[in-house]
Amino acid sequence: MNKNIILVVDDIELNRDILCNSFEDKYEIKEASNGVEAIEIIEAYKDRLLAVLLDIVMPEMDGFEVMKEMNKRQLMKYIPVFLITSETDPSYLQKGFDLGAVDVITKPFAISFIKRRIENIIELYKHRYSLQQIVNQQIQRIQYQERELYDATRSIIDTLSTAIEFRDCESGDHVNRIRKITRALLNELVRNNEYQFTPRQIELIGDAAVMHDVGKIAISDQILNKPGRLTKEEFEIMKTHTIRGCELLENIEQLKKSDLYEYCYDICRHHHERYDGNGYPDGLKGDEISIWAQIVSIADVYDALISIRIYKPAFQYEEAMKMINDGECGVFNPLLLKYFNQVAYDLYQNYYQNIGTKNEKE
Amino acid sequence: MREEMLKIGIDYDDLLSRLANHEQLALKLLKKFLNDETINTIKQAYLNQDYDLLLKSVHTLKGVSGNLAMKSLFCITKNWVDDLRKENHATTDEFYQQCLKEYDFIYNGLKTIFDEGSQ
Repeated sequence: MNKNIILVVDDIELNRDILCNSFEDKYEIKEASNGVEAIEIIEAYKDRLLAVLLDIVMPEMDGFEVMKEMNKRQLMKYIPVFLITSETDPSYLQKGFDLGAVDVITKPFAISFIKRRIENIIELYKHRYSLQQIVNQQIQRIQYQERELYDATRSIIDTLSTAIEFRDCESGDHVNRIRKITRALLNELVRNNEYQFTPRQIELIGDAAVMHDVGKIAISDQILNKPGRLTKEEFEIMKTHTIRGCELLENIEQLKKSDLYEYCYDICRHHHERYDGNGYPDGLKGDEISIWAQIVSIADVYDALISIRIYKPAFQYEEAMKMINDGECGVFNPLLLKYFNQVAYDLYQNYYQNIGTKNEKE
Repeated sequence: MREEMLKIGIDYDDLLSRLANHEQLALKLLKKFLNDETINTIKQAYLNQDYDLLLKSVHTLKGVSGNLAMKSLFCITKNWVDDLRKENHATTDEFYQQCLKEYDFIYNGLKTIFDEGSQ
């Protein structure tokens, strides 16, 4: 961008002449004889203006008004304004500075001095502007790289979880559904002002939820894929998938560096806790359990009920809802249950309709 | 040149120093002064007793004379502007006369210098 214009504003032609004469060797000069003309020119050439040399006493619109208008239009940020005035009253000068003038030059002036002062400031502004440009570019580059990094991390998570879930679920879709249900519930809580989550947090927690059962990789096929009810001992082993999952996560260096990690770990460990303290592995109670772990609990139960599993057929929507609401699958947070009920049918329609039809055919 | 300028009330050294010693620019601006219309506006405003216009135009002449190192004229117009701002119109007649007198003095002096110069 070619920034090389200086605007000289003064109703007295002689004054403009002196200033023009001093700067026209190096810069392109624009002139205005009152505030209204000045604003028009500033607006038209704002990307190319290096400085505005502004008189105060002018007809139509005076220098102070010009600066007020510039402030309103956010034009002072990159264009230094020099007030050039014959007023010596300190309150005038103070007003000038308060309105954002970078310097106040009193008339009559010595041209070589003000030339120096003005050019010094122009240099500074040029430098500041180009630094700002560099910083902006760097910020953009960093943001782009952060996104790429996150996408890579998410890829790892999805691949890992899908592979692990593949052993005991009908398909890898379970992983995706948990993500979607988790996000839907979070959004519902935010929508009703129960919790504050940023869109980024909701994205993260959704992705973290995908890892909730990675610990199953440590559980033997015999137990994981047993078609019937587990014995007491088998169930104890099964329960360890929470802690084993955390151990696994702790070993993924890439994940530990990510914002996802805290959520992943928490959800992995606590998605089988229950509101009344009867869950596992830590027996946390009530709000000791983080809200996102609670959400993944309910999402996991819902998905398990409505889908076919090796140990059970798929239940109908109404049946599944009754079981959850009646506490047959554990006690849930009443507040959470309320909002879950509000979104459950939409979730069913969006993600389970096909599965339901498939079951009816069988 | 310097002596001649001093004789007609222009502090030539001061003028040059403020224009970074550009004598050509100084002379160009002084020549331009001969075409300046401000004095006519002052005359009109005075005759019509239009004090707003008078204030504006005397202020203008003050700026011009200040820039061109016309010390005496600058002094007269400065004091006149102060009074006009305070709405003290008692002094207007007096200042008007002084102003015209000084102006004509400078004007004629400059005209002579430039006419002679071009011969």
